[in-house]
Amino acid sequence: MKVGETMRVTQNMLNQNMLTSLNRNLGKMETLQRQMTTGKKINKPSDDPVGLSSAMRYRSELEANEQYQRNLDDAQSWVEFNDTTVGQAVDVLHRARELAVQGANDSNPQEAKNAVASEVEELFDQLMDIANSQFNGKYVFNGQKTDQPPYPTDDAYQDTTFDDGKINFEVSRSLVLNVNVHAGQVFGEAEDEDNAFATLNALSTALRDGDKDGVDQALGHLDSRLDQVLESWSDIGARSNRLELIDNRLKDSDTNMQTLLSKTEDADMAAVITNLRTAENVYQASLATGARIISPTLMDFLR
Amino acid sequence: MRSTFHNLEVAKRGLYAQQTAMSTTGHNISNANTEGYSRQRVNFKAATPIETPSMTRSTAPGQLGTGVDFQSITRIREAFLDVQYRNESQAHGTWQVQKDTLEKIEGIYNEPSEEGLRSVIDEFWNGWQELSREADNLTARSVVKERALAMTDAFKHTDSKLQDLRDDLDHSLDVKTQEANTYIDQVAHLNQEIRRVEGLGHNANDLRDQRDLAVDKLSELVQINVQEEQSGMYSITLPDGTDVVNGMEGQHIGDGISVDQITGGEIYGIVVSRDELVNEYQTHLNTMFQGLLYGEVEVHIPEGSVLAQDIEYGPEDNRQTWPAGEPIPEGGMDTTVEGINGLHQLGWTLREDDDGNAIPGEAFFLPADEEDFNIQDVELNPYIAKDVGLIAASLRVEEEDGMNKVIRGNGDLALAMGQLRDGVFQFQPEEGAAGEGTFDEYFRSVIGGLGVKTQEATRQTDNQEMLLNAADNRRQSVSGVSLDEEMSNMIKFQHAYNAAARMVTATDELLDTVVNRMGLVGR
Repeated sequence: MKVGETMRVTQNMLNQNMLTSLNRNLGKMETLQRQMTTGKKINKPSDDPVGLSSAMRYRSELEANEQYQRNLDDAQSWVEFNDTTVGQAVDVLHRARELAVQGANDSNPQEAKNAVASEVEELFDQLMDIANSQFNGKYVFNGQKTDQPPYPTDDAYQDTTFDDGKINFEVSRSLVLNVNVHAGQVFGEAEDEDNAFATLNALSTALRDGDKDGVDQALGHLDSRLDQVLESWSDIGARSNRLELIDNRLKDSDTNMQTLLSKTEDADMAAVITNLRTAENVYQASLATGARIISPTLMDFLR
Repeated sequence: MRSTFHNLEVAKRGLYAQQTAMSTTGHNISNANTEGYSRQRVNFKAATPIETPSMTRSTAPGQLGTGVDFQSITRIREAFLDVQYRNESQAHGTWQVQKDTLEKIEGIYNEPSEEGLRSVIDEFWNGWQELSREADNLTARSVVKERALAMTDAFKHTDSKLQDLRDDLDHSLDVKTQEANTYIDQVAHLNQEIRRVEGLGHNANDLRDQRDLAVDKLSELVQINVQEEQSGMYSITLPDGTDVVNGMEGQHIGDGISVDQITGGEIYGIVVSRDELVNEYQTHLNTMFQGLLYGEVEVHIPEGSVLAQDIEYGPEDNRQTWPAGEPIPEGGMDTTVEGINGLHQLGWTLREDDDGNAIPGEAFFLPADEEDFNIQDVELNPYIAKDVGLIAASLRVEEEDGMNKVIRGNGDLALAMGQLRDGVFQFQPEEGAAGEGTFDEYFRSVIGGLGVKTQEATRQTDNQEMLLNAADNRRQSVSGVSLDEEMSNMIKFQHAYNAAARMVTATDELLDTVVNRMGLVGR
């Protein structure tokens, strides 16, 4: 076409162009409507490939985090249970110490010592119960052999039968925490002089025999055992604190990730609604223009 | 010397000519909406005057006009615009098909969502994590089993959807090829018709329109070059020079022309979609799943573990073997296993054999190795599917009465499995360098790539559509029927016709004067 020459326009061109632009406007409305109904600006990979990659990463990390959170909750229960049971063991040992001090007093008659010895024997049983305590049907002081008691019989403490395997929970990416303490750490290894059961046994025997030296020796062992147990106990407390910190961190990172995911993936509703309104107006305008352009021809004005 | 009736003759020619023009106007109006129609025009020319220069000319002055002749009826069309239109049309066809295919693949992979592959795999890892906390819990074991089934199902489902898409493309290739062959036949046939008509000196306007339309349609499907021969016949060739239509001879695609020779248009788009796009994403799926099941990945074996198989450890240039059954020393050991299957075979199940020895883990998924890998053949080991006790979760056995007894509370294998979420796998793509990364990374790169490809195809399709529309508009601007124009022409021709008719009346009155009123003086 030469410069300045006006383009010839025919009815079909008008029709075609109108249809094309109506279609384009409808397409825009469809996209916006999808964003409205899903609330997401990324509905398929091609909407935003880079954003999608991040969104998928956040989703996976969120799911992993949820799992870590579940593992952590479980770990916390384990540690809390250990905390309670070891606390009970401490109480038992304290009471035994009191009784030992009482029994060491020579002015007590033998009957009184026998009575003390009986109580010590009860403490032995109680401690045995604690050592064999179960959490969710699992023996907590027998390492990985959670299906077997560490002390199947009363004198099992004399030879090591418990397992020292670690119960490990993954509580955050690549962070594996050990949640159990084994019987050896709390009640003493079989060969330890201050093995709690051996000591209690020796104490009651010494009391019944009126063996003051024996009682004194037991008292000394009780003290050193208590030190050991308290150490384990504070170790458990430290683990509990650590779990709490990790818990906070997991919750923080969950919030962060949710925010990031939302920023990447969610549609800005105010903008979408405004845009949809605009698109509707444009669409209606193009319909109205179309209706005016398409219908009249010269024919309408000829008599 | 002119005839008395000269004026009648002139007026009659006027009547004929204007009437022809009116008919053509009517033809244009009637075909205003006919696809491929180009408007026609009657070319008027003043008729040959009498008294052409000669030896015996009259002495009367001037040449006397003899009215109008209509020389020809021609269609108004520019061949150059056809070439442009057909170029854009084939490119549009190619991209449109690829765009559709990629959008379908997007739909099949179904990301981002909570139902896609990424999600079932996340769930699978989570299942093992749950099991790691309660290694002997049968419920946790069932969860692992169910999630393994869900994962294989999801992969198989995705793969078969891609296969369906491939079959669909095969089918549309057949349909489109047939369509193209029909147009090829049409052009060849019309070539013959047009030559016959035009050999007699006429313009085969409407047949030419039909032929151009057939060529337009063909160019949507196949990239072609069109050349009009001296004889008025079109010869159509592929860009590589192969004849598609030569005179009255047409070559069929799939017969004289192979599909591989086609380099543009929808048919090419279909072939690319099937052989490159769908194939690529099916291969990706294979590579991902294969990597997950058998790809090399480094794992950490905790101290105290007693494994069912020998493992290799140490630096790459000095690999050493740690024997099965020997407790792993303090600090644990890093080793490389072959995917989920390899890891599973290091550990111990809850079940015992007839002698009372703990049964070691078998391949978790079958087939146990990656020879002739086909997603559709993969299944959870049926023994495990039947008895979840055969899932290996423990990495430790202990000798008891001369027998290996599993440590039931040990969930280290389950934990190691759950940690594969972050494990760096060696993927073996069919083409290019081996991919290395976590499963998630690999999957994300596949989906990201798909998004970019679809975006590009959409952009190209939109562009081509605009170019195609522009070309079509330019063509329409030249050849399209304008009703306004036809209306004003109609009035123009109508008035001319009326005037010519009036001329007949005038001549009639003139002759009436000559015949009936002359020579009556004094009567």
